[in-house]
Amino acid sequence: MQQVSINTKDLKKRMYAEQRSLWIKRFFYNKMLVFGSLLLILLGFLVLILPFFIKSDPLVMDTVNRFKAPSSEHWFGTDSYGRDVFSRVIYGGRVSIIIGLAVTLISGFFGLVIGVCSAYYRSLDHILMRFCDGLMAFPAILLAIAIMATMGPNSFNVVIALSIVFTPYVARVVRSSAIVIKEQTYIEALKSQGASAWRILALHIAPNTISPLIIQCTFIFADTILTEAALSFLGAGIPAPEPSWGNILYDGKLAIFNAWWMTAFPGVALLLTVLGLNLFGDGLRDLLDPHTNKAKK
Amino acid sequence: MRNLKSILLLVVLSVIALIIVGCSGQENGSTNTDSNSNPNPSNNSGETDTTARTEGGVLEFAFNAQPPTLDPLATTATATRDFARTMFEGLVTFDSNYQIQPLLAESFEVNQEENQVIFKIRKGVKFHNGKDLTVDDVVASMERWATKSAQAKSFLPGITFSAPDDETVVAQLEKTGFVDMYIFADQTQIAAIMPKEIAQQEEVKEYIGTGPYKFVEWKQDQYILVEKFDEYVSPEGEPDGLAGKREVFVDQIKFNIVPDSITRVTGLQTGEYHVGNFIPYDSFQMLDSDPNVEMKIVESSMGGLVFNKAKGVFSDIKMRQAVAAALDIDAINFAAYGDEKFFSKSPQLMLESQIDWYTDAGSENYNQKNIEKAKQLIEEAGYNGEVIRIITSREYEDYYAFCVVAHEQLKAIGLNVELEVYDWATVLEKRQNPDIYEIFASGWALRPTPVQYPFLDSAGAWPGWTNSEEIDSAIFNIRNAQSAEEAKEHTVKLQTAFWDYVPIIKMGNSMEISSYRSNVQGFDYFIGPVLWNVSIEK
Amino acid sequence: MINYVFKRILSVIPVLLIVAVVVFSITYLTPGDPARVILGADATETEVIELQEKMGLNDSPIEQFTRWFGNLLQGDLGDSYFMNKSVMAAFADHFMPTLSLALMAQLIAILIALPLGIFAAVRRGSVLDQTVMGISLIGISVPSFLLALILVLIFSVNLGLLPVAGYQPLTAGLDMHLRYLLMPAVALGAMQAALITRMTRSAMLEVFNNNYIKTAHSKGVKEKKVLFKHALRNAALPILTVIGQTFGVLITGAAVVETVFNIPGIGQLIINSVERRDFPVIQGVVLLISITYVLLNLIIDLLYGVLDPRIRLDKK
Repeated sequence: MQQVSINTKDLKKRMYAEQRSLWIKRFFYNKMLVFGSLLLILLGFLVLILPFFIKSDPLVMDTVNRFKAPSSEHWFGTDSYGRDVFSRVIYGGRVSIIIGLAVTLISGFFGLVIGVCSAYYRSLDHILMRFCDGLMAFPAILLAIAIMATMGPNSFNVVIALSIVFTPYVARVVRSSAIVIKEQTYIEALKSQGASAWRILALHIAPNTISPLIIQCTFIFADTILTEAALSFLGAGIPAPEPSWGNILYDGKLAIFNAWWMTAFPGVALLLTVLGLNLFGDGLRDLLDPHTNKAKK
Repeated sequence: MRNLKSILLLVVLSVIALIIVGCSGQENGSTNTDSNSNPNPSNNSGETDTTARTEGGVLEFAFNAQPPTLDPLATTATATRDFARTMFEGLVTFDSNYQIQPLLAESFEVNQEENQVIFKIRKGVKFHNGKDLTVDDVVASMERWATKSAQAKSFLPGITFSAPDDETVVAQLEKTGFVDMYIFADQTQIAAIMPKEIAQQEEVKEYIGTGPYKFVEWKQDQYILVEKFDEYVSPEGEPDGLAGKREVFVDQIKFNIVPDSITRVTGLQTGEYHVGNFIPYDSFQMLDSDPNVEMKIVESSMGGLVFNKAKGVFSDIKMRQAVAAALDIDAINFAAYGDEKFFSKSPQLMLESQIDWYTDAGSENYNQKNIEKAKQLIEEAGYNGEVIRIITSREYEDYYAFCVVAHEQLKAIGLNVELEVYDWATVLEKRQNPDIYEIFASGWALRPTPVQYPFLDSAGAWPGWTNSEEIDSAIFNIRNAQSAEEAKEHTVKLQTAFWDYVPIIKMGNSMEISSYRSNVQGFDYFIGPVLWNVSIEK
Repeated sequence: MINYVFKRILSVIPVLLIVAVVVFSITYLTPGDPARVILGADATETEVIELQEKMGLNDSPIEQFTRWFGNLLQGDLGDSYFMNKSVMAAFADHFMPTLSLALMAQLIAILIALPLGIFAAVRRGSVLDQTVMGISLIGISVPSFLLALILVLIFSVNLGLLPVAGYQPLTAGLDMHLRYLLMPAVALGAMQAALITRMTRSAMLEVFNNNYIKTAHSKGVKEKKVLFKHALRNAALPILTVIGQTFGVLITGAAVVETVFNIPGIGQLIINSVERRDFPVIQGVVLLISITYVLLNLIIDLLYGVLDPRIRLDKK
């Protein structure tokens, strides 16, 4: 008895190890994933670690030196208050990326749950989808102003407001994929075998909606950063004078004829982040989806 | 790897595109700044000489804001003011030295014994609906003005109007005073003369006046269209400020509502618009270097930080004086305006050209940059780290800049300052509640007399709640002054008290930049754009 | 089927009820009121209170709600505080520019995105695929106001080809109409195109892996036929959803682009109304937009059934 059990344990271990090395192999084979991850790690490092090392304060003003072009002293130039754009982009990135990720994760999670459930349970569908219709009709700006006004202007409330705005978009896309999957024969087969609804939802339907979900989520990430900018312009975004990529971009828009660097640098930072995220997302999709992998080679 | 290469290539390309676009803006913005940058409007009035002018055309005006209403008495908004005076006229108006001149009145006379102002009404004036202007129309309109205009209500209480004959209108006051005529000529809410039937209604829905242009159409959020009034009868005299001859050359003026400042700027560059108002300071250089665009810079308003004096730390005069001592107002103005030509370092309540009122009293308390003094005053006041909330919005970028910079400066002297940014409508409401803020920023169009600023008197209970005996009594004495000398004497006291009590901290006066295409002739700016005597040349 | 459509349309009613209550509460809770905005910054508090009384803003929320809701039941959305017209008329006025812009942007987006997405999927891993995906990645990442400004600088300020901003209705002639809409439509369409391209590619790839496509291939069915008859049709659902959704976003107002190009559309109407607290307009427009959304989503759901007969929406 004992021997057998050791054997199976051993076997399992070996199997896992093999599987692990396969995953790792796949991971490194997938250049998009590697490059995307590298880009994200690099940006994460810049944005999260660098603030501890750079001396320039993103809030310190020097109004005599407004709109100074990039130089060795101010790598990204200075803005309309003479603040250092480089440190603002770095600090602003921290705020923007955290908010972008938070909103994406929250609305991604709730969107997935709502979408899958409403595709599976016809009776829920009507209620949930009508609810989403109603939510989608709400202007994000109004919602954000109201939330900030009643609950106070802070970053957490920005996340809440934007998550409410974006959840229905995810839900609808997830639902549209889930509806198709649900009608496929293997789901019928699973049902007839007596698999529980939760098991089917969690293990069979949800994973198959992953690719539209990822695309929608990367889109939401970028959109969150930009919507936050529009909100902070109306006083419903990240409270000033805290920098965020969004409000640096908006400040830049006002001065676009004088100071291209105020738009270009946060613009490129945003672009690189979304790029990294998209590469990562596409790569992840390929990694998680076994048959695309086989199909590729 | 090709995958990555192509993506990288695209990134690089887009960065280059961004930079090219940015640089092209830069090159345009090279140094060339001597256009019409004369801050004094009075010197420009002679410019409208009588060389042959082209008639016709539609003047496309890029206007920054949608007026909340077209009835000048229903709001104090400047958007309504600027637009209303193309259609409506009052009895009297200002010349460029802020002297009172007749407009629909032929003449006027103040009778101090009887406490009356007697207006003789001009003959032959027609309304846009073709009817003749009568004294009944004037009486009805002035009565409406007296009950609706905030200025009339507070400065001319109990005023009544009557028409003893068909060319005279008499205003009966409780007591005549020095500022009465300025109130009659006030531009913020002009005493618009309308037909009696309209003036007697509660709400004005039809816009019929006697002005050089008549109302055609208001497409909300798009444009307001007015056209030349063919039967317009102009007052005589050399055009000067808002007074003198008003000639109409263009067929129509289209006020395009263009809230986006960058769109106004680019539209002027392409010739899409003939005139644009509220040009952002940071776009000045670029537009100024364009040979087809002319600039007009006029000192038009004052801005400052308003203290909540009813509750909280700033109910203590020492705390307000501490802030006045601490602030580096030069830095604040630089952040807000960027260049000395867009603001004047003015602690005075009045302009130098307003000779009857101008004084330097109290200005030693302006822009002190005296951190030591500030810290001492704070200690004397017994400040103990209470939070100081500055509420602001981005509706007006310069006032927003006041707050952002003041926030930094006050933090540096050890005050516990928080900056709260809301949208404009929220600020309007919040500033009304003495429990929730300590400071807000605002601005005021320059006024013909010092007593008209809402932050001075205690009677109006304007947000901030100024309540100073010295200021109130100075205002009272100015209003009841019998001569210019007497009024000046009390203005000195008023301004001294203003810098001692510190109801607000005035940062200075700001310029409004208007731009127009070089083929536009005769454009002037005096308390808003002056749109008669304007023509579009080939 | 008809039964189903009928049920769906009936389901609008509870949605509207909820939306009505929520939008009313939100506008009530939001600080700021129209009286102050109308009177301007220099107005005294007495004047403000007087006007508030006249506008009925100081009534209790229950009173205000029943008044508004009562009118609503009679199909009357009320009148704008700021425009001398009814909410309905204001919506109709602002809807046309938005609809034109949305259609044009969507058309541009689909014309670019569908072929690119399909080819990228077919030639997976090729240079074409990578270029297309690269462009679409950047398309998603460039803020639309930035793209709008770049377009204005190039085509209006430097080349003088197109007007900077403004809007001309169709009555001014089709060419004028299109001239004014072209740049905003491109600025808007670019982001949509990027999203649709990506969605198309991934949906097509998903389908390629299915057995019936492989079967079709092995049976020797022509490539084109496989592509369009089998693959595209089965990939249509998520693509359609994204198109429907982006169209929903476009039609309810692309506020930023409308502001830059000064187009008097729904997006501007909402922003302006929120800024000046024009409560009847905010409430009315949100309700009308929810109806638009419900109908739009109904059409999409019905199209699901047409494209994929396996989906029976009216089951149960």
